[in-house]
Amino acid sequence: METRFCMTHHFHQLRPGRCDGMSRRSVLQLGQLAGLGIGLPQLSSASSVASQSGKARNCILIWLDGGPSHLETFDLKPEAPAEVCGPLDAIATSVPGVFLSECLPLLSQRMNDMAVIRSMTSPLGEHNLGTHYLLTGYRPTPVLEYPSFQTVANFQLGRSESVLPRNVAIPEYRVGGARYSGHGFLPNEFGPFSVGGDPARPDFRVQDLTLSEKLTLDRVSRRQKFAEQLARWNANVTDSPVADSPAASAPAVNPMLQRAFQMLTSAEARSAFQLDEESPGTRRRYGTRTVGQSCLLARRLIERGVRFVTVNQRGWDTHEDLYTRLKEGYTGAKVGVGLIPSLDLAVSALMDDLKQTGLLNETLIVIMGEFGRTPKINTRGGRDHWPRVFSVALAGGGIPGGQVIGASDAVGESPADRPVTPADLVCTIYSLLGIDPSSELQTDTGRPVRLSADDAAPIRELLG
Amino acid sequence: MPTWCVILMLAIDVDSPRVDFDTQVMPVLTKAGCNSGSCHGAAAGRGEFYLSLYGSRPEQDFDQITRSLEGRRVNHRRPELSLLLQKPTEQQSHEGGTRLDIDGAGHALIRRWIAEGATRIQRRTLHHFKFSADHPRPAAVGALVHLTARAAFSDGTTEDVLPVTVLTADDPSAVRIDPDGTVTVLRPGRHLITARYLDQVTPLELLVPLTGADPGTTFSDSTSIDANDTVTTSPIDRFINSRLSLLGLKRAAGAADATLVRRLSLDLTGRLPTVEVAEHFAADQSADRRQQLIERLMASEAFVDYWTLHLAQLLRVNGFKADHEAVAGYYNWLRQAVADDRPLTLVARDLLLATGSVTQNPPASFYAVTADPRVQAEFVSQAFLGVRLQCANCHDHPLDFWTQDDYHGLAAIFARVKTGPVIQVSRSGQVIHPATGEPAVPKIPGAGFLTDSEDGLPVLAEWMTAKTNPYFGRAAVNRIWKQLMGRGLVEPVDDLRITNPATHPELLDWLTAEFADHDFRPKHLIRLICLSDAYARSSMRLPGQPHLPAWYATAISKPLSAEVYLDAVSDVTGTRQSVSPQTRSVRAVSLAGLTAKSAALDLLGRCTVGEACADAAVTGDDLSVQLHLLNGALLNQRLADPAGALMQSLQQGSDVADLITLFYKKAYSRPPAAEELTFWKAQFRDTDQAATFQSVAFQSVAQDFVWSLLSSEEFMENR
Repeated sequence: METRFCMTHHFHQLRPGRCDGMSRRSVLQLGQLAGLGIGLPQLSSASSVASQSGKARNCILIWLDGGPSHLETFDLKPEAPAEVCGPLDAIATSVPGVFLSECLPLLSQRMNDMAVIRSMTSPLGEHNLGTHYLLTGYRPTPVLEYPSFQTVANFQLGRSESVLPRNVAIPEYRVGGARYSGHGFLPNEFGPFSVGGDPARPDFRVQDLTLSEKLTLDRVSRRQKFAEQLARWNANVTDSPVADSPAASAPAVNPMLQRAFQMLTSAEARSAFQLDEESPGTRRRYGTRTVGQSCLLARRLIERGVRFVTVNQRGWDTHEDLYTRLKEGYTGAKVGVGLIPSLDLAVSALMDDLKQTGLLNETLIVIMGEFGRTPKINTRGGRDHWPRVFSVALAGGGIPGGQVIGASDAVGESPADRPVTPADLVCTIYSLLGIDPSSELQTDTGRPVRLSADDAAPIRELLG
Repeated sequence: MPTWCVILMLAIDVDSPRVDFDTQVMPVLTKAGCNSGSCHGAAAGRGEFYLSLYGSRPEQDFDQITRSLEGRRVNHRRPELSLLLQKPTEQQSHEGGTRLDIDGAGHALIRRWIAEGATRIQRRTLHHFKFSADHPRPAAVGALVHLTARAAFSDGTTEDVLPVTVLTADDPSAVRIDPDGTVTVLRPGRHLITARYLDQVTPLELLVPLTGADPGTTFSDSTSIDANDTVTTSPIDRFINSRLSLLGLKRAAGAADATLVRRLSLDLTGRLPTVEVAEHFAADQSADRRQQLIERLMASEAFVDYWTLHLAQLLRVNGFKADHEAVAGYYNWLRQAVADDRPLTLVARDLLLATGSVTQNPPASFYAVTADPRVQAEFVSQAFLGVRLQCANCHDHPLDFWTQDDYHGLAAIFARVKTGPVIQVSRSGQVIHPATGEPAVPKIPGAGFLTDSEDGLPVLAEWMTAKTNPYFGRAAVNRIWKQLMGRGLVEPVDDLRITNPATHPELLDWLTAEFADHDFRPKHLIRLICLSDAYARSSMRLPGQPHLPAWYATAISKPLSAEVYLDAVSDVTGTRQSVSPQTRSVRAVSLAGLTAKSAALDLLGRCTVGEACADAAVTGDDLSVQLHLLNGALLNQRLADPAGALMQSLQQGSDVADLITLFYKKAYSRPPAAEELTFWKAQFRDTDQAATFQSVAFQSVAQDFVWSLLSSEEFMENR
């Protein structure tokens, strides 16, 4: 066992086995970027940082908001006392000896394409804090909000020329108590774009993406021309005439406004969000719940060049009545439509479709929430927050499937073997995406920040 | 010896007196990280070994070490075989790795303590801890600074405790701290190093000039901020300029008239200046024109509306689902306090002591935010004291002096407040102190416990609003400073603590004293700040100088909040559309009680229910906001409003240049530059040579022109 747990930050530099995937340290200059994103002199060089080593190009995060119970999903304890084991049974999977929840029959059949980490561990049992740790690999500090791994990966690609935003959240990026922005100290333009509507609703559409009847395409392009002219004048006034900021060559207009112009005038952009272009059979296969239709939309977006999607499934904070909320959906349901069966339908359909088009191998799917739940069921039939051990599942992106990494103890209370921290997980995700976890970003005060925390080590079993 | 071992060097004299657990063993455990939050200091402990966080409870830790686990952690016959030593040296498997060097002084000391019987003799207590540096103002990157940490004890002894003091850099990439206390400066700027020894946490500031030049001479003696202003350099500027000088930073010249009048108007009233006000200010030759403008703005109804919004956001008036009548009454009560420039101490006292029906006694709604006394304690400390007490719920605050007793003692005071439609104070009501399992004893934070006969709330109100309270005034000053200057002297504004010192400590002290001397009336403070040179600087970045907002070398450009932006749009377009279906109000800043629904405000990103938020700004880098501004109703409907300023101008006007100039002045408070005017005139010509003002083609160009102003950065910022 390596020294992993008892690390106070003063000792980081003394530790062996860091997350140095590669030795090259690259510093990305943020400098001018801090404001509304005028002038990105060094940004074009950023894309060269992404090395060729990772197999994954895209990453779909299925965020189980509120903290999913590991004991009802990926780490069941059928041998444990009743108050630990809970109401759900374990079922066999396509991998001999590996068991998952009875509510995950479809994913169980796809276990050979998945990896489950059962020894995730974190000290943070509050939603906002845990969320920050899981999504950034850094424990939160009052001084600095870190960017999510998807924002960082997006930033590494440099400024996007594509019509669709490269980082999208469905339905919206309201995660873990809603205090976390997603973009951290990086500019918002690299953070997640919240679609803003529920794809499961029949009237689903992205707000303001359909051209208003008061406007015409000609007027939109005229507005674009006007906005660009104002932005050019503005850049002349506000930018310091320092040589390293060639205002003339940088796109003058606010990149988010630029994208708004492009999306509004692009039929393809609108079509990307048009779920009724899918057959009724396909839509049913993903399940009619929000998470199902969100996964379907995620697939459509990935097919159209979007690189990072967050599907936000809310409601996992099951302090009470977890049987109904996790399995049934409503009391007395004949066929369970709770959180877990909905997730099962959604992710299995997503995996199947991506596999069929060959995209699964280059699309990493990460299924996780901010922590696990207490080993003992409480008096209200629920489980409370429990970060000391929990599970994360992964699929695609070239990871070796069919494996369980680490283990919790007999009652799902602590890691029994191979503890993995959120910092390790994020470090691994960077490596899978071909990003050097030891490269650095700079905050707007010039502070260099490593992508991956000093005490992070990659999960070798996943790197294949 | 493995390099990652922690080497503790302690001079141990064999003849020295018996080892004192509290002042000698505990610091070794803290230095080794045993009682940190990620190890045994976690509330749930680690491996069934529970220590208090950073050793705040020596008596409990002593018990854990010597008595629990059937005493197996210490081995009196063979001290070196004690689990307490075997584990951190990894002679037995230890999840936390090697924490103590087997040959080190820390190991030797603990071993000797066990050999001496592992007792708690309490030979001495800490009297004084001094943490200092030989050169707190190093000249440049690469300089070496030597730290010292000395402790004075009750028995008259003093010791060098640097080896057992935990040293942490706020930004480890800026300074390297070697185990012997030598600091190497890696980056220029202001850096903080925090020392932790026993229950003391002490920050130390290092200031390293940002330019290579000789500090003190580099900043330009820029011309007077406002040639027409006779304002002499205020103490504010003395403090600001002295820091700029220490850091070798130049300061910007004064902002242009148009910028300054727009800034003052937006900061004080949340509204754009009218074209007339802006023109009058530019033409005014009087020496005290800025002062006059400030007084006029502060005397306006708009000032009252706007600063009531700030107060209502601070007090989370939006945070509860009380009936609208109560919310409106509460809002009006706050509004009256702002209108009267009522001392904030009196406002706070009235709120804390309010009882009765929330509809009949509006300030009683203060207690409607939450029914949970712990949440109330956190809310009150955050809003009035600028302190985040939350940490002290589960353990003593690791970065400040707040204890669990403070947290639960304050909550115990609020536990006696019965909330609901009628607020009552009773003799019963308690919260359980998690450390004892017993009801917490009511306590004033950082001060004494209350006796049974004392009423908690009056004592609390007395303490909180006393002139000597170290937090109340500072917190208010810091918030008002941020409102006007764009950045708190302490950031975040609700995180005043020992280890988070102000960027300008003397300035914060001076402003706080000034505020207290003027009875905690906000207007005096606002006036002082707005009259300073620092307030009136240009926000344009200075060539060749790093942009570091914390030092106010240039003014900080502030994004407009959702409410201010919406009102500014209404003003420029001259429209009077209701901002919420529930009210006929056309001004977003005065939405009574903030419970009113407003889709436009929600989209623009106003404060949401139940959270304290002071930073809700319209973010131009949000794609959904941009899509809505471009394609949604918010701007398009107002631009096309037949009764609005644009369509009315087109009905009446005849000169394109006038039209362009009018909307430039309305939106930017300045006329267009020649180049700008030429460009826009050409756009109108391009539409249709024969077009009249009333033609559809001309109207659509005019709408697109004003649209582009309203969605531009210059408009969306208060710069």
